Amino acid sequence: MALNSLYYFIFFLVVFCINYFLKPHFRKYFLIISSFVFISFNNLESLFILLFSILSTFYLAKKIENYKTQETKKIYFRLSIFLSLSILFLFKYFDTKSGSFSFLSANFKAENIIYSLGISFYTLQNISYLFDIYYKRIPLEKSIVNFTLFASYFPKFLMGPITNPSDFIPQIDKTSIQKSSVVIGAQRILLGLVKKIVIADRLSVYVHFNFDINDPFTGLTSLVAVYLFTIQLYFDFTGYMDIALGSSKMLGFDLKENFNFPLKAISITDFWRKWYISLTSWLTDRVYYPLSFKYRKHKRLGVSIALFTTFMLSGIWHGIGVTFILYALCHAIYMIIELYTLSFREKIAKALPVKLHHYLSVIITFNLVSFSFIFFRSTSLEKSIQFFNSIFDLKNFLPSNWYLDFFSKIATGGDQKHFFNLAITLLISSAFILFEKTIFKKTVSERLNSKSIILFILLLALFGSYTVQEQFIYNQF
Amino acid sequence: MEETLIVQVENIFKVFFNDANIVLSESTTADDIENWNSLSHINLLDKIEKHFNFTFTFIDIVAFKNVGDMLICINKKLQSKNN
Repeated sequence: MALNSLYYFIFFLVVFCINYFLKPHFRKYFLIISSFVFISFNNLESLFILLFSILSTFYLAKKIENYKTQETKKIYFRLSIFLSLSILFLFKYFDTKSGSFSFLSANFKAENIIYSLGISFYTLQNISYLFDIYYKRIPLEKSIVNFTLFASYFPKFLMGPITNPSDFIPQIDKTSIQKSSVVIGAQRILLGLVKKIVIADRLSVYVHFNFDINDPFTGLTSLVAVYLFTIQLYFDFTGYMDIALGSSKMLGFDLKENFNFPLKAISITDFWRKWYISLTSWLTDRVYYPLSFKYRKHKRLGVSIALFTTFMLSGIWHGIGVTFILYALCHAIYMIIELYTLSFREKIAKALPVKLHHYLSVIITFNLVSFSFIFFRSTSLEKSIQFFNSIFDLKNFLPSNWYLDFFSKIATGGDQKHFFNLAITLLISSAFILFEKTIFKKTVSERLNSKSIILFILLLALFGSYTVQEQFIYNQF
Repeated sequence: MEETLIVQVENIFKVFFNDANIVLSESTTADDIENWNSLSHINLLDKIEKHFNFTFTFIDIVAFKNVGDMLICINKKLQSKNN
């Protein structure tokens, strides 16, 4: 039950209505049952794996808290982290046919993996909880009911945001759902649907045509396809987040924002502060920070080791295949270069006019990120290399026949209908990128914004892509 | 909390962030000081360790929510060093 499916909206409408009118005391039980129904509808095995993960984490956290000696606490802490990671590796990477872990395998087949929904996300949440208990950042959660809701809550179950227990659990016993939350939530769901169905799914056609069906075309065509994928991924993922956060808001829970306009980031460091914030925060707190502290005597080298390890783990977490490792490696290298060129870049910033420096920084960052996404999007390493070769083959960068080799390739066809569809897609995408802060502010405003609602409904009715229901890209993780 | 301790730490902050206008209070957090981020934080801790000649542990530093927590920890470290 994807969050952009009709099933989800029927399910959500029923859950919302019952939850809204239910006595506050019963809501958490009802939301747990709803979450279990949501998970079982997708895949019943996933529910059993989740229940095992919940019970083991809850029990081991109690052990960590209750033992008095630091040594015993440490043993239980390590055991609990090992168990959580083992469950993740077993159900995400273990190839049942070859009997080996397959995250580097080129011959990976999805059917050989025991599929477990949401495991990448709730495992990180459970580790957060264990980590925070061990380091005494939060008190032990005594209620298994509250902890179960935290781990299984359906709006964040499939693709996050990865939530800290200290942000979620205190909201559970809240008494009322404000009417303004319902308004904001509903507007946000509509915005998410527009981003997904009107922008990301329309762009997906062009990206698919250039990445999957054909060998790379001329350099410029490939470059535009790469840019289109960056924009597709952004709207796909933020569209999902808008639907998830909007649904959650309507049920009475605020989840943390996962994006902060990352396409306008002025450096790779800035990009990672704005892109997939919940994963970045998790990795910063639990991997980067401990490592950079451990190697602090080595100054920049120590930070580089911490950055490298953090990004490699992020690559492995993202999924199976060497392309994700290369995607992560790309960002590790970018970050390390930024670290070593800090003073040089500050000198350039002082020498250039402020606005020029800002726009140049945004353009460079966007290009670096887009290049890394070639690995992220490509189905194989060979395909990634083909794309890089095509883009950096400067002799054949510009098409010899602009109509045949560029416009008709980007538009997936050469007649008027194709060009019109492409123009509409680019126009809507550009408008949403240029005015995204204003659109976001109006959407999360407490007042019912009828103009936005009408605009969103019109966009969905006139330009929505309904022929094929595209999965959310991050659903695969 | 000894007045001199916060002054000493404040001076380390001023030199480290190259900002003579920094004024610390126990409630000061990273949000209040420009460029105090996860990267500079590690280097700042290194400066504090060198100044007072002790070593933080990771358990010490994850408990820091503001400058007040940091001062309590420094105070404890200094006391155990003197005993």
